[in-house]
Amino acid sequence: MLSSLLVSWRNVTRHKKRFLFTLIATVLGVAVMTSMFIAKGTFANLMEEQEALYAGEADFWVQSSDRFFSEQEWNEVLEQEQIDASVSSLFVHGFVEQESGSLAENSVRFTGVSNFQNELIALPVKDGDVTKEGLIITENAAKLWKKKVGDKVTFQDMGEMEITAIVYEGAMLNSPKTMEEALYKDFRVMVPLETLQKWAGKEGQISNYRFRVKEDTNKNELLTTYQTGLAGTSLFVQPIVMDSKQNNDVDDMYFVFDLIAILSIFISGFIAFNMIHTSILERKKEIAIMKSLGYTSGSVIRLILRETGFLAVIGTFFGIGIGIWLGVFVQDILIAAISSQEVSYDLVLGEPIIISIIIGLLFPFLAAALPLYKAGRTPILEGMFNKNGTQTGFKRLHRARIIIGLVCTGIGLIDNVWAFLFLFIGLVLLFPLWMRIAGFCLHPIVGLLFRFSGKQAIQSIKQFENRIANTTAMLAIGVCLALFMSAALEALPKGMEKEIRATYGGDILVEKETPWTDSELGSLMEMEGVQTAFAYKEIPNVTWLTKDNELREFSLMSYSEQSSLPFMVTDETDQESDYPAIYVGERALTEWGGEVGDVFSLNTPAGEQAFFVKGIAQTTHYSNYVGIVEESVMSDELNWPGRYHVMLDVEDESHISTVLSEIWNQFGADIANTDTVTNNIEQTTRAISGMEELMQGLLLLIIAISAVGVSNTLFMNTMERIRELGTMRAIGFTKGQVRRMIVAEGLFIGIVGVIFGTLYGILVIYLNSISKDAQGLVSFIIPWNSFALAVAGGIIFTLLASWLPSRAASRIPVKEAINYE
Amino acid sequence: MIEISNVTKEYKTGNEKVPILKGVDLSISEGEFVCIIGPSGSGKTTLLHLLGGLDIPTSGNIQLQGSELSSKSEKQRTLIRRREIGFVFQNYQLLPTLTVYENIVFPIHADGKKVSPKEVETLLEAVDLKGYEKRFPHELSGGQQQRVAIARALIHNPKILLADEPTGNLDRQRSGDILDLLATFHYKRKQTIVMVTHDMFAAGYADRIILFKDGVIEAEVKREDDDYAKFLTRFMA
Amino acid sequence: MSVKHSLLALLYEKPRHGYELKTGFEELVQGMWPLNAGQVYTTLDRLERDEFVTSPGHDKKDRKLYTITNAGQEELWSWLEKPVGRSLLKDEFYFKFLCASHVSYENKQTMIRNQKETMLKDVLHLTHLKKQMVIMDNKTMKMLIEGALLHLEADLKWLDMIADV
Repeated sequence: MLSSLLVSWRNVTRHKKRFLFTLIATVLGVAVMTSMFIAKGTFANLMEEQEALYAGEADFWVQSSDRFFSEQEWNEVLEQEQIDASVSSLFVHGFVEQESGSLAENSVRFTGVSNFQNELIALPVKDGDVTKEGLIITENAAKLWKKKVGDKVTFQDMGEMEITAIVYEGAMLNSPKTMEEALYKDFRVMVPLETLQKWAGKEGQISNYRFRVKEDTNKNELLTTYQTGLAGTSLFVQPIVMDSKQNNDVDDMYFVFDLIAILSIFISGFIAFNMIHTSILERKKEIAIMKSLGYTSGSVIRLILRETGFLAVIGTFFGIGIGIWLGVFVQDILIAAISSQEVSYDLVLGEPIIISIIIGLLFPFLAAALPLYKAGRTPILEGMFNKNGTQTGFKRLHRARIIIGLVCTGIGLIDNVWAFLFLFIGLVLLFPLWMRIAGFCLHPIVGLLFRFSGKQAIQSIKQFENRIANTTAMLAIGVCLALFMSAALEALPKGMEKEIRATYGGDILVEKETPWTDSELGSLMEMEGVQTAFAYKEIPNVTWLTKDNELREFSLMSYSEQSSLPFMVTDETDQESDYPAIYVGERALTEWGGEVGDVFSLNTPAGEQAFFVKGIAQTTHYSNYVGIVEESVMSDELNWPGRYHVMLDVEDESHISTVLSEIWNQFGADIANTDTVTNNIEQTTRAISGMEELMQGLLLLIIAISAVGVSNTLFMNTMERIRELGTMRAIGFTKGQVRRMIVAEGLFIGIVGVIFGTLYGILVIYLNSISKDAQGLVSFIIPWNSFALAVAGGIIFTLLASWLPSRAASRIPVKEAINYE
Repeated sequence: MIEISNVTKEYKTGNEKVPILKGVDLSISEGEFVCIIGPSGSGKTTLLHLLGGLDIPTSGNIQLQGSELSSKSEKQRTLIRRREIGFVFQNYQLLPTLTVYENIVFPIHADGKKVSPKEVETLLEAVDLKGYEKRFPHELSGGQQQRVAIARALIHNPKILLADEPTGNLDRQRSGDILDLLATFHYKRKQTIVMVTHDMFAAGYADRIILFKDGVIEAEVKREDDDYAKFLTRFMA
Repeated sequence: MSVKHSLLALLYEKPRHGYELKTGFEELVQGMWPLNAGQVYTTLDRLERDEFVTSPGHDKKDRKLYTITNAGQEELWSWLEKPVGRSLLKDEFYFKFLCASHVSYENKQTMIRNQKETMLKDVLHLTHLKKQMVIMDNKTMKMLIEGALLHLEADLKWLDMIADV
């Protein structure tokens, strides 16, 4: 075993450069894949963690449709013996005393907590002691307020308190990073419940009560008991569900990550395929001799498998190492782009690394499958006495390859997110054909540019047609994807802006602690610049079961005849039903697993309630993870009387800030939250542009892997023609001519790769622009800057990639080369 | 024409320096047909490579037509090779992806010059390969391939033809054909020919035979010399 | 060998007188077989006697002309048609080797070496001759030399073989 491993190792390292380049490609491929998985896993975990931190360890919580309720009222219903741990919270708004800054900027959201030592709330401590009763602020707040543990903070009309702890930003407590951000975001701080009740004049009142039940409790039964017990009151109970989909729409990002991972491994796989294939072709004679000496096909396959094993193991080992580093890097950029705070996160390594190891170890073997099959079948006599099997001119194109290629391309045109992978497979299969077409036009140019060297380069391109086609196809895919991503990133903000404007429902959103009264609405309408103002209802934390029986939650929003709709209907049924109608946001519908026309059962403040899914909604609010029902349904069926939200239309967007500050002046103390359409657009587009560099970097990496492939292919072409090159030199080719010949080959690969990458890129952009799935977010644009970059990048990369092989080729010692077997 | 004086050549094998040529002096005049014979490893092929500028000597001088070869740059040597020298190898060394025609005109094209179709036609006729222009090397027999190689070596009408075991891979009859071809060209074009061989029957074509042994010239004999045969018998038996 | 038949061949070409036949013969064999005049005339006499040739008279310089008769032509054809066998002991060196072995000749190796030297000399000579024939485009002669060279090659191999024994 050891000696056979040694023999395999010798075989593998017989062509050091080739092995090295293939290894680099493998390492890069595995690294990019690993980093994508790590970034995805870590990010998903982070979101879950944040959600979990917010939810704490509790099982249920009790809230009121009036926002506040008395502890007393609840205690009457509460059955103490089932409770394992509990905590009461009160949310109140106030303002910090600062020398400067508007009300909006100094707005603080207090969380009064009944018990600082409870197990249900976990805070990431930075400094101080979170179990000590006092003021707990976050690191951003500490920085903006210039405070440290032990300092006192004064709140307007309330009082002052000593900071006992500073924590990192998290789900429970977080604060704006800058004063500009503070305009739309509260500083969230934690204080003892009793103090807050006193400060706010809400003695005995709480916002919610969270509790964990003892282990042996039947939770479903308990829920039903409480729902019955609380029926008719403003109180309602809900299980606590971790569902972050309302806050972030990251599915598309995950999709892109998967895509990049698949592509990087795909390209690496092809490079490995090229190497193994070549290695077997070269050793045809050896293999035939081995077989003539009694090696079975199986032994030959084992021999090659061992060699592939070296590639797989070494490539995966280093790839995972670099991948972890790269994953952390990607994660940092990602968080910087998406989240406005510095969030500490735990790397999720376990699953991504295991998956990466499995794929990393497997894909070289997959790449080896076809060559292996051929190697096993090497006929002895032909192999031993082959006339060097040199191919002359073009071989006939493989008809099956073309047909399968066309079929795959056809599938690729179908409107589905994964279908275009088939487009790429089709691209690879059809590439020899494309290359011939391109060659038809390019050969004269190459000939003109490189004269006789160019003509020899064309010969070589013909000779190694399949290998060069594969390599060029990889480059084309890289270029294609780069173009598509650039187009998407360029078009997406515009598309998003359009969509936000279309589905936000107004210009300014104001949420108040108390329901809006008609007179308050009237005074809003009288404000200068305000066109309309209408209040609507929103029920938070409505839970439901997916078709797979997983508990989920979203918010319900209301619409009415008078108000403009904060959503668009993308699909609607004519059917009617006795159940109240609901429009479900598309993401929620997908998560649930149902369809338009189905009956959707929700846990509402009024207990379980069935709805008829009337249509699919499209809205900016809650990342489209939302249900929308008529206002009357909320008040009549769902026990939700109050309208805490108001949507304002202003005459002109320039009025937004003046109207907003006027609102703060009038309703300051009662305002729970404000948001504007412009802020929404800005946040969304900023997140996209934050991702832009990351994406471009990753794509550059993919093009770099392709470039490694180009180098490798040119090396292999050179090494296989070592005798020919020696002969050419002997009968009068100068070193320069040999160099130019290889560079011409590289240039041809670069140009063809860029041309077809661009063509396919435009095709993919077009397909996406007419795709229903993309909902017209990405319009058809050609990203000229990226186009120029891709053209220049593709060609420069390949020229660089051909530099080393061209030097190696020109340095071939003529004497040895002539007699090279 | 060719002046070789005190040429040595060493190769490195690992850390060891292996001398291949240990001081060779040889003068070849224009139009001469010289044959170099000797056991394998005696340095005869190395000398041929040095003459073709494929390599430079470790010490000593090689002058071609009065100019020093080893002081020239690699590129200049290549240019000399493709203009002044024709090379014929034992294993033909045709370019497998090029047709017979393309192989033959390679040196002209490499030089960026125009090919005279008449010239090629004459040459093809001379090597008896008319009608084979579009064939690829692997479609030809060994003798035919070597004839292509000879045509390729002569297409640019070089002053010097260097042949390294041109008949080594061929049977008696085919090597006879090849040698006849060389002889005919030698007669018609008055090229200087240096041929390395171990084949007695080939050596008979030469005006002068030089025997190599252990990297030096052991002996040489002209065809006019009386002990021509005796000399050969001594070394070739 | 058959001077007789070569003269018939020359006469078949055209009528010639004695001296012409001598030069014609020498040209045919590329001067490798000098023929003296006497030999020509004795052979002609014999041919005339056998009625293979006949003389139509003398030319202006009073030299006797000869032409081939029908019988002469037939004789030429039948000679050309008749295959030539090869006798094992016709080669003199074979015979010498036989005798040398019989008497346990001590200098057998020298004998072989000398023979080889001679043969190599022949090889070189014939090769050179062949080169000239190629240049002169004399295909028949070239082929003859080719044949001789093949024989020599075989003989040389055989000499190596017996030298080792």
